[in-house]
Amino acid sequence: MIRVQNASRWYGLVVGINRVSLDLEPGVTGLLGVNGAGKSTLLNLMAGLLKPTAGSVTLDGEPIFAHPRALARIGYCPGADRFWEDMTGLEFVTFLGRLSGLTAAAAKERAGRALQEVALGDEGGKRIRAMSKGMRQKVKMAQALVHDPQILLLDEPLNGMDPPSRAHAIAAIKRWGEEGRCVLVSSHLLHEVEAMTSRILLLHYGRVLASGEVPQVREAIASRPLKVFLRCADARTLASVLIAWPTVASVTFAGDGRNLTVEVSDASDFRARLGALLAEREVGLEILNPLDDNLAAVFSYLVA
Amino acid sequence: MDSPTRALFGFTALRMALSVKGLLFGLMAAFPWGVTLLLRLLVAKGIPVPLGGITLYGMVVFLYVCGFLLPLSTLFFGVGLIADEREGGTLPYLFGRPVPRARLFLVRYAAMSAVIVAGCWASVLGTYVLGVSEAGAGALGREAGTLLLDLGVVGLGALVYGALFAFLGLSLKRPLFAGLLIGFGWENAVAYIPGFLKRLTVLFHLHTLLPHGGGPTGIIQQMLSSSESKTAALLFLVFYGVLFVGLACFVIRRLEAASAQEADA
Repeated sequence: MIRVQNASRWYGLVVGINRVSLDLEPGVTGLLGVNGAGKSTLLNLMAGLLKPTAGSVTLDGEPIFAHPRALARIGYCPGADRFWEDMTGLEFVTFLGRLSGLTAAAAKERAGRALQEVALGDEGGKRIRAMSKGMRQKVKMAQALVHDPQILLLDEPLNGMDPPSRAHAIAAIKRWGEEGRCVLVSSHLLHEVEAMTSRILLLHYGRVLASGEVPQVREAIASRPLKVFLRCADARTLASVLIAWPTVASVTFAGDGRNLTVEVSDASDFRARLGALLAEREVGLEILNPLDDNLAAVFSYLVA
Repeated sequence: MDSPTRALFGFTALRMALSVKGLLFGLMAAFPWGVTLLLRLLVAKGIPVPLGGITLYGMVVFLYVCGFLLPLSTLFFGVGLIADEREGGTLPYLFGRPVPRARLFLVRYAAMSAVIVAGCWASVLGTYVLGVSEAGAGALGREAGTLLLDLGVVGLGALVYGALFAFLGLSLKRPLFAGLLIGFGWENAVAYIPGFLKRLTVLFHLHTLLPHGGGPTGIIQQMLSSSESKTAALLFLVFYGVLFVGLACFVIRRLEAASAQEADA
């Protein structure tokens, strides 16, 4: 699949990405980062539109840049809202399907299917200049999909979509990942990525800050305490026990006095001790919820 | 022709023909028809006119089509062949598809040339019919050889100028300015200077190949055409065409689709 090895890309003195290495695996991977983090640069490199200044970007060992065999296996949805405006959505997708080697008839049939897949359907017959932002996003996604590529690179594909379209697109992206395609989706909206996948690649200032499953990434950040939410009948007693543990940094009461937020420096040690405690005595534990196992926490820890 | 080639050729030709540039090009191509019709009208009304239809036709091909219409149309279409897509942000759609870059350029270049050649030929043919028929219907047949040669030279001129300006469009950040300097500065100034330098223009070789020996520009033309053979002129033009097409293919293989601003603006 796509392998990025020590790839750097500079624009004069400006760094796009810096010594990035990764392997894009089947399934959905979320590419996260604030604006200017290097997400689009990385996607453009992987889509064969940019050359790395140093390092390599390959697909099964072959460089991707301007390489037709590699490009045939990649579908790229650019972030920029640019089209040949006077074409209809169907014409646009059909034309790009034909450039991917499909015959005129096959391209039209596949274009129709791709537009259905992104829930544009009959509205694909509209001129692109008359389409809303969300519809235009769908056309871009459909053109990435029309030649049935194994690899999908989607640059902020949900921008401008209304909530139902967004939900549909998220479901479609998840489905493509489940079908075994390698899908890399960039976004700076955490909840979007979280809805699609738990596997992330976090870029910051052109560097990979973290990659992997969100809980794994969270555990890897050993220097940051993990916050755990607990709700139990006898919160005071439990708090007095917990605060004595060396791995517990702090205990805070919240709400009606039955809620506790515990800061833990070693998650696995805390889990083991809590398991032993629950086996030993009845504390009336109702809820145990790690608060920092979500993407927002990981993101804020790493980027802050 | 395979599916991508046909799709790209049709797409490029249609977009060029239906663009604002295409409309202006059509108007410019039709301009000599109006002039020729005006001449016919004056002749019909008995107003004395200093030149006949055949002479006017020769001047149109020599001065207007080769000296103005060809360089201008190839300049505007040629520099924008890839640059327009880059500026419009649509280049990633073309470069992200499995079409070899050189083929992508060659197909677009062929489509552009087809549009320009069609327009220029229409201009020449229309002027020929309207102008030469002024000397009687028989003149149309007598001058057919000249017409065919003119069409050949105009077609060759479109290919060579198109290659030159397409190469400039791929290589330079502001190709239009450089193209204007070359197309209307260098070409028109140097082509008339005696010596070797004029061989570095396209216009000089086109003039050598044109069959219009006489006419009002005869002195200049004789001076130009006497300095090289038609074979040499043809070889020069073929060389220039192949050179610029080759250079353009070389450049496009290394061209990136996304600029720094686009990539992470």
